Amino acid sequence: MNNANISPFSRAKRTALSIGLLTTATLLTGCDLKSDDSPIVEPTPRNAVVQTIAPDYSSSEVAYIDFNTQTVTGDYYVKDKSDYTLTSYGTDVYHIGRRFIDTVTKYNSAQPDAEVFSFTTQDEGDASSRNPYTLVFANANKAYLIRYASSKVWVVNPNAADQSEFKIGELDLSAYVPENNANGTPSPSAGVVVDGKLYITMQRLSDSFKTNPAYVAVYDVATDVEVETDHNSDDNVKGILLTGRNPLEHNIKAAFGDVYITSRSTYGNTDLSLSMIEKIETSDYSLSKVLSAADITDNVDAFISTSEIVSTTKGYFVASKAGFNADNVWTTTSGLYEFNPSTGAIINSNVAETGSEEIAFISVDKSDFLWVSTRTPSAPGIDVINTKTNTKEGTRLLTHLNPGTIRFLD
Amino acid sequence: MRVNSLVFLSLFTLPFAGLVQASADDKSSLERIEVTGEHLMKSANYTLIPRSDFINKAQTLSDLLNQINGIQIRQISGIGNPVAVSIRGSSSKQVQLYIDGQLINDSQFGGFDLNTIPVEHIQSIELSKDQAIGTGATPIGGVIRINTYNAAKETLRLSAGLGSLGMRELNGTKNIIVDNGNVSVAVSHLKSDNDYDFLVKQPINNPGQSQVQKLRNNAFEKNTLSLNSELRFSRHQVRLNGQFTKQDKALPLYQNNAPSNKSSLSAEIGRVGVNYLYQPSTTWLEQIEIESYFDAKKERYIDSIDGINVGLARYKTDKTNVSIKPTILVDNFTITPFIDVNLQEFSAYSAYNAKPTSCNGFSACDVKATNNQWVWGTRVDWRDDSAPLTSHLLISQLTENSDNIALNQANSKKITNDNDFISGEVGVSYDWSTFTFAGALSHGVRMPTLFELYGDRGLFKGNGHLKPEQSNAVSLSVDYTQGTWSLNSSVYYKQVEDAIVATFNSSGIGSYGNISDANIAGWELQADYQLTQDITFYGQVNLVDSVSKSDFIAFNNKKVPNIFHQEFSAKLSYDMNSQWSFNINSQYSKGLYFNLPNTVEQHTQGNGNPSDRWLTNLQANWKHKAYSVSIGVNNVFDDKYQDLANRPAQGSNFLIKFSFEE
Repeated sequence: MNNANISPFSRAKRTALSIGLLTTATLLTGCDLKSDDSPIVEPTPRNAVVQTIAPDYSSSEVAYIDFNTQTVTGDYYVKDKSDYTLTSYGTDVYHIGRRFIDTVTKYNSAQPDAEVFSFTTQDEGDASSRNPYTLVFANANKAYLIRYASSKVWVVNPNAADQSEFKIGELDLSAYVPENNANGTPSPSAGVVVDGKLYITMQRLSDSFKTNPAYVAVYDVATDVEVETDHNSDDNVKGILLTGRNPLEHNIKAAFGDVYITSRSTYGNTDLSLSMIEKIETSDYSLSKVLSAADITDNVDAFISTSEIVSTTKGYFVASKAGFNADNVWTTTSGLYEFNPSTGAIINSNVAETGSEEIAFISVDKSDFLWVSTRTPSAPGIDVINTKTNTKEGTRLLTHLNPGTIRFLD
Repeated sequence: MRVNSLVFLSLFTLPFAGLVQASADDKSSLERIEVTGEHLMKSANYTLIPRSDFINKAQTLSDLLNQINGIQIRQISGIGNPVAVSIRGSSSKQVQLYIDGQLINDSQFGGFDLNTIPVEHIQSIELSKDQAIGTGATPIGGVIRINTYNAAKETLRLSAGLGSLGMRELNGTKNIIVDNGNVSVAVSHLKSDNDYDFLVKQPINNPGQSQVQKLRNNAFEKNTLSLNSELRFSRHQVRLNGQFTKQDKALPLYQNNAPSNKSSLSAEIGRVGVNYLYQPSTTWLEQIEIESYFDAKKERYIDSIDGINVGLARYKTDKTNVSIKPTILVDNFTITPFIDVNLQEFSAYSAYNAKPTSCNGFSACDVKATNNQWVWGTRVDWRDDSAPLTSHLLISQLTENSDNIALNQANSKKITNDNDFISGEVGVSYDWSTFTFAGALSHGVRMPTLFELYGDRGLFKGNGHLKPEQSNAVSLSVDYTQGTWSLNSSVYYKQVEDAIVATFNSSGIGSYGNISDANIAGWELQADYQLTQDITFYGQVNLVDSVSKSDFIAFNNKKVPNIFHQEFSAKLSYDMNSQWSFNINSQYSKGLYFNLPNTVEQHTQGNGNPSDRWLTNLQANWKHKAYSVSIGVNNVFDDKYQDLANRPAQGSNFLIKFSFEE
């Protein structure tokens, strides 16, 4: 990882932060901060909500998980279709219906059966499905709806009382539509807000689903104006040109002031070097490679599908490969790897006895537990890994259908 | 396709050049060579529906078959849309459809169009549950065999129909007796707007407010020409048949009903067949039957939702079939060894905005696939001279070789696959007094389709290791007829193994696998009672219990999807006089799951489970001499239920049919 492009100001800010953390850590280890005699409470995994999908894509449902009581309560938001995902904010849950569903439905975890609203994500005149991928929150009253099949990102009010109040603005990504895409979409796939900026990844697929160079557009959330990143003088767009290809959904994360993007590489492509984790320094929008799938020892066919950052020195990524198993069933197997985001070094492979099952999704909660959606046909469910010890906490939380997106609840 | 039309028209006209004039005044019925041995081939699970049972009725073939106990028909609403057939809990792919001895199921996707032949062009329909009809591989579900129009006497028939949603049809059939045979011609035109009221979830002009609108871009048009001729020369009989169909089906956009949507699927299908029957004078060789068919289908699929960007796919399927069946008599045995050879070739070509699509490992590739299938075996029928006891045994060896190559991919490799299977069945039937007892055992098969074996060469992966789906079934039945009563009760138990199901990983990459097994048990009861000379009651009960078994927890210990587990129906038929007759039929169906995990999304309509349906149909028929009128109203009480695609069904509809027949 190259630090040459880090500005003196940023380096000073990080140093101050590090000193502050060191001081705090020293104080914590040196004495008991609690004013009474209660034992120190170890952090525990959060509560979560999980989107689950039938293996044949025929149906889906949502499950609420209470790790502390080890309970999984399913049968929520049962649908005859499977193209759904979730976003959460506080105690609110947003159930997003994607291609040819085109809805966002809001619930609250205090009353999970009660629908707060259900709004369309189509503009008037939209004949094609705009395929909403995710909601990215700027704050409690403003969010961005990334729509995969549209160059227009909706700015929305997540507390709208009716449809007319839901959409409050638009961002225009049409500058990123590739020439070989007649449908007018740059295929925006994910977004994250950090330090008042919205970062949006775009796969930029052609009409035949071939990847073009991927970009990240940056917007100021206060003004909804795109930021000129000056990243690449050879193009005529404002955003950041990625090296990796095909950044998938859910794969842009904010961590410790920086932005991490995971790219899978083009499906059907055997080049592992384009499957990578990259970092954007938010101070100057510089881009650096953290690692690629080609860096995994003895890896010839596993591509990186997702990653999570726990600290500046600890992160996890999933590398997956597919093929027919001994029973002649098409199967994907995934390994969970630990890496150092600062150096790009891969530290551990097949963490917590992974490596023989498919991992669909990983997410780190505020207590630094890593939640892993594991899609084993006979025992689908969520494994929760203690990132301090790299071991599983408790037993697998079994779901009826295959688990996917995990979102945490306050 | 025009060249092919001329070819098969020539086949019919040339042989008759010297024969037609001789038959001008000859109105006698046709004397045919009796195809002996056929009556021995009927088993307990067999039903024959003659033309007279359906020809003057205002109903479709789907309406007709749905009244047979043990057969369930579900359809995507609208004429011309796909129909799924289930026989005793089977999937639609596990049912074989034959037209005049030609297997219609296509090798690429395994399906068939039940309504491929207009009702007016049908002479009779044969149905078999769990077993083959005559020879061939034993199916898992059963067989529907449509015998095309081939009248025994000179006739002229004209009919016209009008119905709901802009439905109109015109039909004409003519049968001419010639010196040594007959020539039949049938033409049909069918059109429907299919613009029924539909709850559009996100109307294009106001996507935030669901609205009931007339469904756009759902029209259907079909034109069919059928030709049949039969010639007899001493001990030889030659039958030629052919059919040409052109149909266009517009494809609606249910989500928003956009007027810009111009998607459609059109097809041109041509079939030519020849059946040769020879009955020598020997005592041991009853007959030799040789059949051959050629079938060519071209389809064009247009995907254009916004009317600007156009996805185009062309599919071509050619099928050739040859079968030979000698029938040998040995004492009380009728032995029919047989061999069927089926060759199919499928090719696909696609383009987007006039540019050929590329084969890049992601999107579906243009492919050429071939399937060569040999089915050979023997059927033995036995009849006891001293007792009303018959039995049959059928054993078939099925061998398939297939291959697939991507056409628009550099250095594409041809992938091949071989599969073979032995199927069999045995049946026995005994008449005692007014009872007929029957039992049957069958070991049936459904071979993987080419799509299941090879995928789309993009993100949907093929699985060359797929095993055929197979079943073991046992059935027992008893028929009782006494005076005004007729009862039929059947019980069956079926184990289905290696069901082929598509599963997907978290990236959306999928493949078929032998994922689950299922046990299906059922009871069918048919009770007919003649209340008076004019009034007859028909009652049916069809109860099915099923359970699936799979290593996939989501599919384990579930009900088999897409079948109604309970069906009850009652029909009252009233012959008022020699001219008028009426019938009312009410059928209650419940216990259907749309998917393997048995998840049910509750809708605002429906009777509990949104798939439950209660359909009441009325028919009024008038006939006087050569004229008849039939009026049919389906779903009289406009019951709300979900159709085959899990969308709200179209609701009540009517059909009026006017007929003239000499």
